[in-house]
Amino acid sequence: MLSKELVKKFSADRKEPEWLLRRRLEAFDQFKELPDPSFRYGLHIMLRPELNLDNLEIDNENVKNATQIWGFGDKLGKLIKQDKFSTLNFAFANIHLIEAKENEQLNIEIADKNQFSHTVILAKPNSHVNIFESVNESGNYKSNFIEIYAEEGSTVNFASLQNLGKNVNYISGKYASISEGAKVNWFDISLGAKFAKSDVVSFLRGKNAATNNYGLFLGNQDQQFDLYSAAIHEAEDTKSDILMKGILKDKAKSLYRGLVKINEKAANSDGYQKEEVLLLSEEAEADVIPNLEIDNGNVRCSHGASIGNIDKEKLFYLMSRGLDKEAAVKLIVEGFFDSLLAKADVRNVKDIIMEKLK
Amino acid sequence: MLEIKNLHVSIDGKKILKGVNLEVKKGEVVALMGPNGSGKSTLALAMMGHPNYKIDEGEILFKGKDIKGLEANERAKLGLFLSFQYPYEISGVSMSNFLRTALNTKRDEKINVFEFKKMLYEKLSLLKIPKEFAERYLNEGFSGGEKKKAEILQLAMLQPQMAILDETDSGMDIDALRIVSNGINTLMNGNLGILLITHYQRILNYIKPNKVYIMVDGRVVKSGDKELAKELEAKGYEGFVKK
Ligand SMILES: Nc1ncnc2c1ncn2[C@@H]1O[C@H](COP(=O)(O)OP(=O)(O)OP(=O)(O)O)[C@@H](O)[C@H]1O
Ligand SMILES: [Mg+2]
Repeated sequence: MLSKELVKKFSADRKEPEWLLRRRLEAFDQFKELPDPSFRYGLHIMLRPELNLDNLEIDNENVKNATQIWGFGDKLGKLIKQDKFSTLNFAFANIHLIEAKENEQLNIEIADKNQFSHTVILAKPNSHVNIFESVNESGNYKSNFIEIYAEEGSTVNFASLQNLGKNVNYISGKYASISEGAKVNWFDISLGAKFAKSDVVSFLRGKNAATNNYGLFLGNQDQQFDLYSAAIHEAEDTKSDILMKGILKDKAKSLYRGLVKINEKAANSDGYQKEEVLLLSEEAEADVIPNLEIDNGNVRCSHGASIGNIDKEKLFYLMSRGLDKEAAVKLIVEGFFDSLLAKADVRNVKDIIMEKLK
Repeated sequence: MLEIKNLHVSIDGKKILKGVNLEVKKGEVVALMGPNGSGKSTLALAMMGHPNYKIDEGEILFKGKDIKGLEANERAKLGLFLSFQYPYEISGVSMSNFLRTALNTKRDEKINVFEFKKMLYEKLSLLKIPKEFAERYLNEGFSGGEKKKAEILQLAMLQPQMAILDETDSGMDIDALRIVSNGINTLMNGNLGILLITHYQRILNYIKPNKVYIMVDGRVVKSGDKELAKELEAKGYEGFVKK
């Protein structure tokens, strides 16, 4: 059973400062009060994960690697929306800080095995940070929050490859605050987990800030995905490009929401979003809810969304060249992700994908 | 090599072909002409095994065997090829990747990379197609004429025994038509049988037909030699279409 005592012990074991314990306790109180998430989006669309948050066993093992640098307390948690998941995460998260100094170039790999993790990335002006995160080991609940503060002229590329086992519930929230002339590129890949919720949000806060918010998912058996990507334009001349592509097999289910929001201050901005889902079975189910909220007339925006099966005519075309049905499907499916992987390739993700599609 | 006997085909319950008889011998060029909607593409797609085209009656004999019950890929493996009137775009799949996959399937073994490249460049140069095309996604963003050329490139690479060319000449400029026709003549080499579907006499000046068939309303209503095509060009289908 989760309790305040547990939060206190967790914090004490890590020798945390007083203010952090206080904030953890506040978060825990909020967690207790907040309603359970409904997973209901729109009229017919609903996911039904079995989460049972109150009965989670907290693992409190990774004490010795706990962060001892607390200079960024004013930023910690500031970008994250308060809900049942994020408050619980805040109460029990193993906190990490990654800081790139001015003009520094950093390449970092994260493979955090903690049940609750919270990583803050601080990219000082004109730094360049490449982060590769692999999420593939855990108990049966994993909660992962990322905050990126990209200061003037910096670039942060964040690629995440989630390939958890089919017994895990995965909750992830990734947020970036992007200052003048800075750029944050997300590539969020969801392959594993029983239920995976992933929110990826870019706040474009300075002139000429830009973001590519790309995502890919591939589900089979009875996997469920709850995906959200957003670009919030809060300054002039900002640019966002949202692209989400997914394939579902068997009884897998996905729900995707995309949002481009352009505030009245964000004149002369560009926001694009595109979502495509390919269904490889009769029982697979996908929903796509694209959204545009525009409060400034002087902007360029577009969105396109499609959900469909493999085009039978294309299949016939390939088969007429001698490919059997399986090989023709494989080629079309490979091709489906190719344009995305060509923009942002991540390691051997292609091999992992092809293995799963077999 | 290829013999169509009394072929009746329907789509969604609608009868399109109403007893087609036609023969193409080894190394022969047979032209098939006819007004829009007369059933030429239907014949081509039914021969290739398109699942929507139901064969109600008749036979499609290829190399002496009735291939009616075979899937498209099995027909291809036997040596049948269709150059599509409207080729499809396959996003994310490069032409060279596709051709290599198709060749491997045909040969039942992996083709050596160097051998493949050599062959590909040879065929590209035969058809005067720029090398970059091989790395572009299959037909995606190709112009009408480029798509047709790409079909013939596939023919050149796969080396079938019998090719159906469905309006390969439509959309091609004059130079492209000459280059592609010469390419096809080179590829024929006395062995390849061709069923050439066209609306125009021009391609027949390059690829000389042994026979010309005219199809109207799902039937072959007349056959003759290449003079028949010239006659058509002059007079149109008026004389063949029942009023
Ligand atoms: N799915 C379908 N459902 C109903 N009718 C169809 C379908 N597909 C084709 N047809 C009809 O079948 C007839 C023959 O079409 P087909 O494409 O074979 O003609 P064609 O001779 O190739 O014409 P063109 O010279 O214009 O290419 C046409 O009347 C067409 O409208
Ligand atoms: Mg036609």
